[in-house]
Amino acid sequence: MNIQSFSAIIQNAEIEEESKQMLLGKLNDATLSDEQKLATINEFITVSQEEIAKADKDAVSAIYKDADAELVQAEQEYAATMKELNDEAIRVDQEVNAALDSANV
Amino acid sequence: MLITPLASEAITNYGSYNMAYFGGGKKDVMPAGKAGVEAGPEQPKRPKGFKEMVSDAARRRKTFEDKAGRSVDARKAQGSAFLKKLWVGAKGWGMKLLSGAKTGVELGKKGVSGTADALFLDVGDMGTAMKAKAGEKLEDAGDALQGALAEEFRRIGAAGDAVGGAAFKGLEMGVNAYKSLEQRTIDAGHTLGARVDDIKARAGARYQEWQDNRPQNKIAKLQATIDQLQAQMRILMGSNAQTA
Repeated sequence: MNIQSFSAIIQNAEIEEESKQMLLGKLNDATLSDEQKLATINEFITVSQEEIAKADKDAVSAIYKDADAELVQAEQEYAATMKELNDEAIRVDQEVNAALDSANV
Repeated sequence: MLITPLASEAITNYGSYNMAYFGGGKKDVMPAGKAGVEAGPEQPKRPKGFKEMVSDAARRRKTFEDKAGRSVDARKAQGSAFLKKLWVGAKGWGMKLLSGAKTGVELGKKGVSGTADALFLDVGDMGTAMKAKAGEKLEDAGDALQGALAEEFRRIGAAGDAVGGAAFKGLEMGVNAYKSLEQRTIDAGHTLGARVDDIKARAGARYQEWQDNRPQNKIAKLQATIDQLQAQMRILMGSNAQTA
């Protein structure tokens, strides 16, 4: 099993220095078997994939959270405008009815 | 004088329902049961059902309005008196223009436009009255009739203009206001729609920008490392399988 190929990848990887050192340390640890070293690589992959998924989700959420807030604001302002227009319609009804009443219509 | 007792009695007998029905009034203007001669026999003071109340109220309203001269019926009655007056006067003219067919036309030429046909029909029924007017100087009767007609039409026209003008003003105000409301409602909808489109477009642009930059960011580099490790893992697994 060519574990050294993993060491070369990790060595050149642009990842967190802490993760890099941890992985290299494990791969160079003579007390660990190859299976244990592969298990460490696999665990790193799993955790990293979860981290990537969360980062992607957070980034997209941040983008659409702002948009959602703007949409809510727009809808609230629209609702306020509709209420103003509705109130005005009621006032117009009253004024028109009063005008017609005064004209005895 | 005739209005208040009737209104007062109606209010006393029927309570708040008729307060609204008659548009309000002073309850203490005259005690119940003393409505005056015009109110007719004193009304029984007993509980009334709704239908009876409505029926009585309608009857009282008609009396009320007739006597106040404000109802349509009262206006019609005024109109009848007016036509009768025209009829008598026109009769004198009818004697002069006995052939009849020219009577309305002649009046129309004297400024009573639009009413000549009606006047002509009335004139056509005036045989007895025409005889009663025999001997009267026709020219004088004609002048008097024209003067009365002109004044009456002017008065009715002015009243009609006042009512119609106020009504038109009310309707015009309503139409304009409703048009404005309708347009502003449409505008508000368009504004919201444009705003939502803009928000979506900006969010989409931000998402695209994030995606475009993703290969250069830390997460993308981590992903590249994972891809390399997984590829190496597959190579290793294949090699082991061949060895086995």
